[in-house]
Amino acid sequence: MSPPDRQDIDEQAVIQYLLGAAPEAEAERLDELSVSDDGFAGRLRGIENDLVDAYVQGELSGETLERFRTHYLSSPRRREKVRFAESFLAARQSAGSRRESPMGSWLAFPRLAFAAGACLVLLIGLYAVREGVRFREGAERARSDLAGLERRLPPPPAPAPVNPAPGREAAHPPSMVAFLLAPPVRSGGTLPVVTVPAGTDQATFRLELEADDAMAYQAVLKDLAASTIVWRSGRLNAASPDGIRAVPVGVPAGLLKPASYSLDLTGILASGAADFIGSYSFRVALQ
Amino acid sequence: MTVEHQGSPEARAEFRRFLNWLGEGAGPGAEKYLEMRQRLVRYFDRKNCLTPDELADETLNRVSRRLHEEGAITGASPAHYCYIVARYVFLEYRRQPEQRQISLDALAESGCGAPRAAGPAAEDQTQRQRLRRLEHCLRKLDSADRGLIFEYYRGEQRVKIENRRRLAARLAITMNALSIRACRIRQQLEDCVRGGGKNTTEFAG
Repeated sequence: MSPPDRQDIDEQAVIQYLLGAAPEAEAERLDELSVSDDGFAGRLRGIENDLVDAYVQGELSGETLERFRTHYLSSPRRREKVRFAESFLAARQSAGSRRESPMGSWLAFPRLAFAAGACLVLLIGLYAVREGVRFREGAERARSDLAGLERRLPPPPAPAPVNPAPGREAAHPPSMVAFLLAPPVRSGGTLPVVTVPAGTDQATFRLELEADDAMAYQAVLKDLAASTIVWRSGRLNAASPDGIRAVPVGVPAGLLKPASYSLDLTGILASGAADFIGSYSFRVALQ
Repeated sequence: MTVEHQGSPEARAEFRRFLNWLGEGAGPGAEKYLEMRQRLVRYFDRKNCLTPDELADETLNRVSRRLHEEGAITGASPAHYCYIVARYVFLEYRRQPEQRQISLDALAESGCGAPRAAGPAAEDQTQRQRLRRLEHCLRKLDSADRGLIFEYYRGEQRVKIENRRRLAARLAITMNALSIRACRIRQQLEDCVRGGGKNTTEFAG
């Protein structure tokens, strides 16, 4: 038995192999190369790392995502690789945001940051309203309460500043702003502008839904010019306390620069499949 | 890099000979041994075997015994011979009556097929600990490696590929060589995080 030829193996074939979707003969050939060929073993590792990173960064879709979930994640060792990739991504984001924000590695834990931010919103709400609101632990309640501090954006025909919610103005200094973004429209158009005052800790975006078919949601914040993922949310739930069905997303304001962003919203269906909802684009102006 | 082997002087001598054979005369072969073991673990893991580490060790033990018994192994490179033996080990494993290979259906039924959802607080706690370990491991890297690994994984999709091209050009190495370096550093970090910061083995022989 001599080692098989590896000249004709493209990246897609390797991905299929890693996802258990390669034809049997091809899988056997790659099995052999993965152990016996130094060059291929190294290449396989690199492609696998990139594949895992792509999953963690929400870049996989369709059948690839499905295969990743059903096949790749079936092994504890491979799940450990995914957990490492999540930490590694957080460490890179943390290192990046430390350069820009004094909040440092705190921003590496979006869910914690969100929960803490949501608690701050509650306190501001208590200060402003002074009655009728009782603190309850948990992000779910906090998210619902955020709605009271938000106002809806009309679809803007031209760039227009979006002012923070009126409820926030009662508190000083401002630490929280909230905006509601309308469902994405297919045709182009100008981006809504969100104005983030200096000193703001968290910007909460309510992403309005046209339909609420998903069990839960996840959002990814992208810098449109740099084409990079800036931040990822944890698991989110839709709420409609004011009659508008929307997903609240709390973004650490320190991550936002005067630039164009999109919040890409994905729904997680009851079957476990991911369903891309849309990109809610906006431009940030710092005040 | 060193590899531990505890046993009689004869067993240690046999093991040292095995390492030399694996290294194909280019040094003591400890690094090659660890690399081969890792490849075998991944091979058995991709085959959805429940105990990839045990099967990798079984493979290497059989190769080592064969080398000892025959005095030499010819007709295949050490790496290729390891694969031939690994394939037999896998076929034997699959024939075992208890059918220890994981079927996806069984996984789905047992609920082990996907990460078990822990509470958000527990998840955050675990993630925070893992990140703390990773930051510790990153600090242990020399600054050139740390810079390289951050730069290598910066951006996404096309931006990432362009970054890598520029990085390879700056370091005057090929993309392939850059990928191998980045993979090694990442593996070092993964091992360090998994081992709680310990990533060296000692040779006792």
